[in-house]
Amino acid sequence: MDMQPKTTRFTAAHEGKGGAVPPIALLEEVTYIYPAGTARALDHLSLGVEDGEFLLVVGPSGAGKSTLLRVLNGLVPHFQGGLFGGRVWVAGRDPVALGPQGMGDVVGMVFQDPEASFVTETVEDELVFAMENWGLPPTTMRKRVEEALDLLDIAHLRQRHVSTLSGGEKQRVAIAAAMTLQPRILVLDEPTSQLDPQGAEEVLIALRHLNEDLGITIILAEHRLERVAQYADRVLYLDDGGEMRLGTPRDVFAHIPLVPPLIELARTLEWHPLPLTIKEGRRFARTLRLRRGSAPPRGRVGEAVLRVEDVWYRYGEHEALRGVSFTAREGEFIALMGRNGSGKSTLLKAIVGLLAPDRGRVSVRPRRGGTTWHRVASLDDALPHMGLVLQNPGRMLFQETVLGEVRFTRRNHGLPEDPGAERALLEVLGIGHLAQRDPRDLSGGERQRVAIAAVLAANPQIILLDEPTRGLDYRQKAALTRVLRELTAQGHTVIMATHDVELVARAADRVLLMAEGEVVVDGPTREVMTESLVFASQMTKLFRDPRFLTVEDVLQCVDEGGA
Amino acid sequence: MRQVFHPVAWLAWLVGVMTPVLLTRNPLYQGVVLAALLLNLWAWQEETPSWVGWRAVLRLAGWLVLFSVGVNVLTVHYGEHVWATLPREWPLIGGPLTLEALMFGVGSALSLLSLLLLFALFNLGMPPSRWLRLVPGFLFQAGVVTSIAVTFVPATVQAARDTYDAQRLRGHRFRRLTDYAPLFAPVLVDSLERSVQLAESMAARGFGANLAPISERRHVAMQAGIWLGLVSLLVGLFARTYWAAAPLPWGNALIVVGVGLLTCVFWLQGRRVRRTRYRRWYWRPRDTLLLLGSLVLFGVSLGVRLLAPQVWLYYPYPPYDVWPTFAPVPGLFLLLAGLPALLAPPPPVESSRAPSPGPQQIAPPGENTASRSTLT
Repeated sequence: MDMQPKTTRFTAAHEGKGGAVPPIALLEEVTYIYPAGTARALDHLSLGVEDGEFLLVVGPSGAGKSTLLRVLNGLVPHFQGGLFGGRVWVAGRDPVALGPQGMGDVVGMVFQDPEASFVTETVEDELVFAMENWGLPPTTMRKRVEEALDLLDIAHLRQRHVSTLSGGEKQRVAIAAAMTLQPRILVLDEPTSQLDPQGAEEVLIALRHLNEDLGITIILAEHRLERVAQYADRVLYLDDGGEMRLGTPRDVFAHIPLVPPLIELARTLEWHPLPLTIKEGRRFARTLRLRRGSAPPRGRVGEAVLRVEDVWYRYGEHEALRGVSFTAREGEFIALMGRNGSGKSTLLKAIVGLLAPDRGRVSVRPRRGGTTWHRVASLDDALPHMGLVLQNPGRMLFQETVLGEVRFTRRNHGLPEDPGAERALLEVLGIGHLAQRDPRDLSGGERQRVAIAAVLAANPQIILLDEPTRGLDYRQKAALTRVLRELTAQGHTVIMATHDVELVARAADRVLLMAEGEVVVDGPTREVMTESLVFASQMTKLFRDPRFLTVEDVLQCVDEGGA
Repeated sequence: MRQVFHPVAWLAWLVGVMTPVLLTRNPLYQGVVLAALLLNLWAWQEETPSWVGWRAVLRLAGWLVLFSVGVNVLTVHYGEHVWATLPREWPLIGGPLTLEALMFGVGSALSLLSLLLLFALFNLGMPPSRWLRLVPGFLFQAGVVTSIAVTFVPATVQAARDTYDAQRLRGHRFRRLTDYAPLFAPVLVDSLERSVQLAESMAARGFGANLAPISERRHVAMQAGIWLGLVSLLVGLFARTYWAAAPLPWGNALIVVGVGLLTCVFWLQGRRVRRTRYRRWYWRPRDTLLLLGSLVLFGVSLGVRLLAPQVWLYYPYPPYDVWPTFAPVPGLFLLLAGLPALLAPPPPVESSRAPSPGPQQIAPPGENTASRSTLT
């Protein structure tokens, strides 16, 4: 088959290192500083990647993961300039000398947002783009298009317009486009961070196939460790302090902060060898002696503040909402879950009056307004009581400082300037130290919190969020969770559309599961998670016990020395 | 996105229809072409993203054209057939309203609409990336830029919509022009970020690679060639336009020299790029028919212009007649503009209207016959 990796034509630039198999990629003492920066994005990094290896690169945002991946095909330092030191070989070539254009046939690159990396309109055109640039003969192109379509299982999409594909399909098209030049290494920069869980799963399965069945070397930067830990041969952990750690998944996960709940529990209870999958974990879980008792209650909730009654909405022919009804209470944290396209975002927009429902009504009861319900028929009716944070925080921010964003919202709502309250809000969100910074210079997680601050500035009783954790790392998610729990403790109601099961397990009181525009499940988080196979946290999968949603739940019930 | 005809046949159709549209202002002939084009539209409309975009453009154009007819009627008071009179004291619009002004407006409006509709149909029938593979190598860069613009514009519109919603959610009200400031910065930043990502993706996929190296001297020579060509072309155009009394056809000669020089340089530049083309399209009997039909339309339109120019000529203001004439024979030939709809009838309703085609989608029309055709 033509997709087999080419026979090795490695020119041994470094004999006698690391045993018999020469590494396919080798970095020696690589240091890099971005043109505008003074901090080192990479600091004396040395690394060898074996041919056919699956290397997982993890670490907090801003630790240099993207930079490292871009070194492999010469985008760094060719694309942005900056200071570069050290030596690099990839498949016998020097990317620093050749630049990305000279590396395309040995290193395939896939980026975070597939939409932004598409050059053409249709799937087939996207696949041939690289081959045309490389001047491959038409008969070869013809053959390789068919192979790439089969390899990623996207033959049925060949004529489709790329903008009509789902997230997982788009990313598979992007991988297929990178595979047409038959690279020996596939480098992927957080390819699943913009996808829903189903899309992410599709992509990861495809990668595993490329790696195991075709022997393609895969270097993958990823946040969702729980999904890929089992596939990786080795893990490279990069810290934002410049520390690095390289080893098998078990070695690395035993030592790094911010790991999935299963690893966290296993480390606390000193399970050995460290389980990477639920299957492995269950062996230990069965031997664990746990105290009996009832589940600790979640935070108390108050009076009903929001009523959604039989809301219908259609876009053209498509019925996006079909008779959605529910009531939200003061201090309640509701998670809105379900596949992409199940109506979550539409419901949030209908609640705040950005979309006018075809049927049904939404009403609010102001906290200090006694017992009267107010109908929400438009955005103007909603704004005094609620705020919605849309998906992409960058689309909201335009002021020169973080504080300016808060003041802008307050001015819009006719609130007086109040430095004390503005500062306090930023402090609650953990961005007090950024008050005078330009929002556009901040990291994704920080920008997300600025966007939340920009909405909270009007002090809405009900806070709606549309997938706020997209692209955030574990630490940023934990910070966001703390903030939201703090707000519910103050009596705010939080309704959040999300795919993040672990976050829901930690923070939500109640789950609404949507499908095809309907609410199919509505119940307390514990019940919903225990009854579902898909929407269950790692701890629920491990113990199948409604008492245990999070690691803390489990640890509270472990007998002393019971492990 | 349907690729119904071979790009060459399809380009021929574009040129064939464009010729009469550009040659006459007669509202009757324009009406015939417009009707034939609408027939294609009716046969082909599908809920594809590009059609949704074009529909918005056409709607806007419709309103603009109506507006321009109104302006023409209200501001041009010239002509003999007066059908109403506005008080003379009213500035600009005061005075007689004439049939001549109305007819002139309608003629221009119809030709504008026909042109727009023609380009919309041309794009619906074939994604730009396909027919761009027909352009010679040295124009490939321009082709890629066009192709990117086609995908970039809708993404920017989406960003603008989201930003508009986000700012309204913060209590901002868009009333005056200055209120739109909060829209521009986020949209600009957003599109800049997308540009960088796109550029990285293109570089990683070898765009700009495989450029044969040339010597410094040849490089300078090429630059000089471009400048000389441009200057010669511009001077030639200037001479032709403003110096009509010139005894010798200097203008024309300079234009020819300029165009020749530029073509030469671009061709040499293009030869440096070692790039191949992926062309997967077929020549079917209907392509032959469309090509022939388009040639006939082109020939008749041009022939009429050269041999009997008074047929296409229409100018409603005196001393000409306000009522357009209609010669049935050339008029009937104009119906050839509707040929695509007759050669490639609309797809069955269920496959074209499915809101979201599932993974096991039926092969698009044309795929079935592909195996029996030859690969060009």
